[in-house]
Amino acid sequence: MADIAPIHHPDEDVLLEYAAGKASQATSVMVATHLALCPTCRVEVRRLEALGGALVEAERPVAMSAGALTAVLSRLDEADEVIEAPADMCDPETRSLIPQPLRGYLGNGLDALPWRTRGIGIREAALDLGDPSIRTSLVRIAPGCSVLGHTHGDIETTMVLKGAFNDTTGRYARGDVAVATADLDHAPVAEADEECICLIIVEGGLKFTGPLSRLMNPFVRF
Amino acid sequence: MTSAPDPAATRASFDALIEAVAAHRDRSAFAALFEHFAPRLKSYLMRLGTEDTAAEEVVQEAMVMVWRKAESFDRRQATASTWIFTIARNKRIDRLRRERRPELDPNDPALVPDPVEPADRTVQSRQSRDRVLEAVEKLPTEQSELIRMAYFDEKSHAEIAAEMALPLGTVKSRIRLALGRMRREVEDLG
Repeated sequence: MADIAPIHHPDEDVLLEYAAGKASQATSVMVATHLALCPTCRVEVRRLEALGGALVEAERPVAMSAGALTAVLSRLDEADEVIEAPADMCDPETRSLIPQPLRGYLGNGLDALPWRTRGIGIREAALDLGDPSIRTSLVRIAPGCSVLGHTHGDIETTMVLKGAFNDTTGRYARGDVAVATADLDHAPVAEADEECICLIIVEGGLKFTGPLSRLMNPFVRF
Repeated sequence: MTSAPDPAATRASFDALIEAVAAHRDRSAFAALFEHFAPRLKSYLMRLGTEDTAAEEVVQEAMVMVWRKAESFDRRQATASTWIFTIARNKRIDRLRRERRPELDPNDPALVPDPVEPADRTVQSRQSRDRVLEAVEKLPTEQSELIRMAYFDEKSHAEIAAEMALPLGTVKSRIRLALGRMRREVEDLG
């Protein structure tokens, strides 16, 4: 796979929320996965973290309790509770395609996920990124197929992991992030030569506007 | 335990203190790091709405992590204050939000490596801490306030916007503007 750097990045304020530790866990998984694919944003996040460090450095100190240092010193020799990272059970294709930390949420790999058909050439697998209020899923779009036109109750963020899609706002390939807000009615179309796999995070509801919308809408609520 | 050294010298040598912990498990170096950073981390956590006792616990755990992870500190990647900030930030997420902080894995086979040797950049970032702070102070009040809120306020940008009775887009563009000005300051260092 050619490593072409992403050209559509997360909003700078999203990177800032990630660097400041305020982004939701689902958003943090997406940002960190984007960072694995995007050296440019890695530099930006390092810069934002350096700003956080400088701001903390400039804080007016608040006294720790009298015994705090002694208490910490006495804990230094405690055995480190070793939390074994769960073994990477993913198949080799998933391992080369999906970076961490997202891959850690995929169990045995892409093909073992509970894919459900969502229309012609569209399959979707719900993911649990530890954030029940935020709907997250992977979507596979067969070559040349399109996701139904839909609008959003809130904000839908899509990151391409494989292949590419086009919509009215541009072309999105591996690592690219597309943000669709409530007023955008868009219908992404996968390019003809390769299936397109995307991570999608929706904060708030999502309503299909196409002719099959009555059929589709019940599916997209988990 | 060492006697209190000159503050300026201490600031310049925090990196060396972490390295001393890594190399010789140096407890006096650790104590010096604790004396400087623990009260600042506590202040940071309390600004984020953590009450005193809980803030102190998170600080203690973060400082234990500083001891344990000292070997992974790399002064070419981050200054001491940045490295310790990220440890405290992650500890707060683990402890107070009971969530896992997702981090990228630098050894991941799927990771796209840096195209250029980032050394020049990191040298620059090492020198720039004070410049960064000066840059924050030079911003118009509304922008520097927003930058501090972005780091030190639990509220999301959407909530900050609601509170300030501003459209979210306005808050986002002010943040972008402030960050852009700061980047210029940092890049002026050459």
